[in-house]
Amino acid sequence: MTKISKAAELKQKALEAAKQAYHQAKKEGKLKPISA
Amino acid sequence: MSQFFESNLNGIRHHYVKFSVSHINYVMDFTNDPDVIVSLMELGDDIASLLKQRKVYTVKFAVEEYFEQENYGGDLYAPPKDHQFGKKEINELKNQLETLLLRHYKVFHPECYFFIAERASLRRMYTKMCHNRNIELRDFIPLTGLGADGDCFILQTPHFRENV
Repeated sequence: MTKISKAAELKQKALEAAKQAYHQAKKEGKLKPISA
Repeated sequence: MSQFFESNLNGIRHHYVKFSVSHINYVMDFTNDPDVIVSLMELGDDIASLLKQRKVYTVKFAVEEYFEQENYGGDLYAPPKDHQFGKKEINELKNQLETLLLRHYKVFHPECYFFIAERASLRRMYTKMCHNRNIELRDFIPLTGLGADGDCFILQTPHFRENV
């Protein structure tokens, strides 16, 4: 298994959290379009 | 033009936007989740001193195919399958990331954007993005090679200096 840095490990967790938030918001109808 | 979406669950906001490079679809995520920001500060004193009491967003992106599968068990930030990016595609990816970051900045005005490069190829691209920036990012200050492993990057926005 490749050893990853502490920062990469943190990013992996943060990306997983972003994905979970995305799916949960989608299910609950809380994913809203915004102007940017 | 790609549409941005926002999720707000228990006050934790994420901004998502989809984009494509060479037929590969990606999802980009911006968040200022306080728990994430606090954990970033634990990556090094250099990082902590730059982020402390600042309005910070972390920036990440992943292949849409992996991101959209709720039960995907693989490596979320793996590169696209069976696809080798050349110089042209890397430049296109850089341009897309810069354009979307600028669009985000113009609305949310953070003081810093934070990136982590988990792969050597990404580290090269972020370094390029920092040192060879889009003309519209000329007033942004890049800080590269941060953290114990030198794989963290901060882009200070013009708002950083306004609030010194």
